[in-house]
Amino acid sequence: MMFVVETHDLGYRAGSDFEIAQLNMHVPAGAVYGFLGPNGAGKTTTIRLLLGLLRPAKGAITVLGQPMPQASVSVLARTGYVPERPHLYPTLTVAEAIDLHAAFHARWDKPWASELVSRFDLPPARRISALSKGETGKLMMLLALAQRPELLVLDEPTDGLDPVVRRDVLEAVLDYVSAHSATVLISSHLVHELERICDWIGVMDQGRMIAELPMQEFKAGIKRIRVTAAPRDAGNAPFTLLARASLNGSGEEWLVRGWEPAMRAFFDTAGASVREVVDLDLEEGFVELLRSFRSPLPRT
Amino acid sequence: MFRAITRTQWKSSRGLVLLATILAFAIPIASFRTATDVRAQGGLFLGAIASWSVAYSVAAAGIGLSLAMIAWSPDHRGRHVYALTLPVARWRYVLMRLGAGALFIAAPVAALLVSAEVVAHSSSIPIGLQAFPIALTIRFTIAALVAYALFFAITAATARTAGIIITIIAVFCAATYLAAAADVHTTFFERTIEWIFATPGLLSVFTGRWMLIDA
Amino acid sequence: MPEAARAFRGGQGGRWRVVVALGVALCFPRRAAVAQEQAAYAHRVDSLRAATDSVKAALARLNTPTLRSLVDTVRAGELVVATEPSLHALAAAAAHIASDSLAALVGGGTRRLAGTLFLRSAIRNGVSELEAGSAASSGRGTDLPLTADRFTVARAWIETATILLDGTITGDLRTWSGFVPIARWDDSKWTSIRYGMVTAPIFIVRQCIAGNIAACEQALGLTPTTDPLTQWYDEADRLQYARMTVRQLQVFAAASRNSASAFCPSSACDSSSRGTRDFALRTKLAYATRCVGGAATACDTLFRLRLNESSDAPLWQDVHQSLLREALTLGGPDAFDRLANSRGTVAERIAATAGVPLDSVVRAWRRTVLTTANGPTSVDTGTVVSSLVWALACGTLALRSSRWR
Repeated sequence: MMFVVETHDLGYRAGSDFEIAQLNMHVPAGAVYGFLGPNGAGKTTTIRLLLGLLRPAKGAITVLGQPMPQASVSVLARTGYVPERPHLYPTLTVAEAIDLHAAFHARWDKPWASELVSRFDLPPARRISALSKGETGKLMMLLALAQRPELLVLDEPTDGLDPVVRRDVLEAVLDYVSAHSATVLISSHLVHELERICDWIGVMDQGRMIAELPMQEFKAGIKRIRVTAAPRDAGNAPFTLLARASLNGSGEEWLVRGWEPAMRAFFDTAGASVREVVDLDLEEGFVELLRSFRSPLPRT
Repeated sequence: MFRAITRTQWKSSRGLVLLATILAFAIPIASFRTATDVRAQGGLFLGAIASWSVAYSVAAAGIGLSLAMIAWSPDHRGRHVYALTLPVARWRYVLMRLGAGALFIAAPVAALLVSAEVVAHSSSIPIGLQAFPIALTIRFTIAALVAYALFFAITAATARTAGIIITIIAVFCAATYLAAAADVHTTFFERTIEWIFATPGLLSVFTGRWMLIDA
Repeated sequence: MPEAARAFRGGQGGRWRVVVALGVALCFPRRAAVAQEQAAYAHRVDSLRAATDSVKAALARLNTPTLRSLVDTVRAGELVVATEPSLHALAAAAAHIASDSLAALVGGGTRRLAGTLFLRSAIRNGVSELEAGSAASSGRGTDLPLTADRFTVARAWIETATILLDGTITGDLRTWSGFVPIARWDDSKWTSIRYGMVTAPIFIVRQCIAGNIAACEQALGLTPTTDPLTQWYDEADRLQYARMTVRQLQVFAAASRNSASAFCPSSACDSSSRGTRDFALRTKLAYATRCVGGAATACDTLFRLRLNESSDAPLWQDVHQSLLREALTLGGPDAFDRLANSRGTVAERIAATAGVPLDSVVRAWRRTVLTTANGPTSVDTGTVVSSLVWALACGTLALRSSRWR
């Protein structure tokens, strides 16, 4: 499998409180990669490292096959970026911002940019400082898309936008991806939004990648299992036990990852019986995953 | 790319450039007007011209400082994220910003030259005195460029670096004052100031005679 | 009382003298003490004088170059140099340089250096001139290290020679110009003359600058003036002088009140001379104040007081020297000779020096003063280059900022 973004043992320290350590990230080519994590997990910092805005303390970064930040000029020419906070020059009008951006990108698609202006209903003569939050978000997406990138990096692109705008923006992204086979790295804490559009997921917490796998596998793999006469020792279980809790005398509830139906045999062998297997949606799975990461079970 | 940068930078700077142009045009005319009131006495005439000397150096420094700050203000507001994500080598981007701002100095310089030439061709200059429009304009241009480059470098730096520079200047001023108050005799401060203001010091162009008309 | 003791031991007469002296001492003790003090003082002065003479003689012996060691003579034009064999080559080279320069400056006037011996000695370690035949140095010279090159030595000899030649010019011209500017002037000197003239609050000088040659001649003191008050100064000048006088005297009066000895030369510090001085200044201040207030007659009186103090021509000696310098330039190589040989009034001597009529000299001088190029407001090349380098350095620093790397 080819990866558009790869990091190997990436490390970065910002102040004394926060550190990214041993981050290994792999974004497959052509994927819509959802980059999940709670606030303060390090998602934005990681994205900045990927784009060369920050210099890593250790480790290696490869984007579009080129090392970063050494090859930042050529990589950024092929990468569209929508940051978390608006970064455009507020004194420019929409048209001037488009012209400025176009001047730096050789692959700029002027007809499509005009089409997007109409589609997003952006007033060309209005100053950026006078645009609404939604209009600013749409403009940033327009600038990222109209340069025909191979990689789209979107850092919380729909944060604070109303549902209509959110839909317009995401539809534009999906249209582009499907037409050009581009890769998208989209970071968000709006889990349900990512659930609809992403086919890969990476979960980050406290500066570390705790899970990185295809979306279906993630959703399918985390289950809540109700067990009676549960074995005390689950060290040799074929799945990953994330958490276990007593159900007030009626057995235990186990939270597992990597579950497959055939794994019932483990309980049978241990003299336990599986009463129920409950599917978790992405958000529940995400929350439980974080919880287990922050308070791991003691090794037995 | 340079044209695009210049266009955007012009948008932020055009108000200041207009103001600076008017100011640069006005100073020579104003100095000559005040001097012609006493043109009968050569000494008083030159004294009146000399009283406007500081206006030239202050104008040059002010124009340089303001253009430098305006050059970076849009990027500062966005924390430089936009500039840093453009597919252009960083040194090239900085150079384009530097060049665009430097271009804008041309307008006030041209205004000064025109105004100084108007004065130079006036019949009211007392005999024995000469006008130096070209020399004054050259000095003004270089002074504005030096001020612009200096403040451009400071504002391009990180906030930490700029803070260090400002702290050093503040400590120096405070130390000078304290030494004088404590009657401590040292030539360190005089030598430092001389090093800065005498050729080939950083600010040497700001010293000297900024006289449009002289003997 | 040693004298008394010796007198007492010296016999009967001496004894009586001692008794008388003792009696005098007992009856008039103060007078005796004073006499003794005076005698001791005189003795002390005599011994100090003898010691000083002895030191002076020793110094003179040390400082005077021994002519015996100066066995080599170099002759270059009219210049005669005595030197030691080890310094012969250097002296010869310096002599030729000095001789050529002096010939260019004063032409045949170098003849006037005949009888003067220029020295280059290792003992004295200096350059000096000596009257031929005299065993003692006249003391005019410049100390130079032995490592001085031929140009430095030549420059020192030229300087000494111009001082000697200047001394040959006598008469009213000497009083008028101070000294003769034999060496050529650089542009900065002419510019400073121009600056002084254009800033002088003197009507006749302005007339000169405007092109009135007769005014120039009056301002230079070359032609007589019947009434300096009205011919040299106009109303504006008088008013400006009055204002300046008021300011100066008010400051002076305040300083005098605070300190009795302020601005008081020792010769005028007794009460009567101070009183006279204060009265004169108060009178001046009164006239100046009334002049500033608009009383024209007060302005006239004030100016007459000023002219009474000093009625010299309004332009100062530096300007006179500049005219003389122009005359020497116009007159060519023999101008100095003509100057030295000339007689008559200052104006006549200047014309004779230049070899052209006075008004031509003054016209040429005025043109030189007003047109000598100098750009006081120009930025010198060093400042331009260094400033551009600094601007480039700052630009490079901006590129190297950590944010951009």
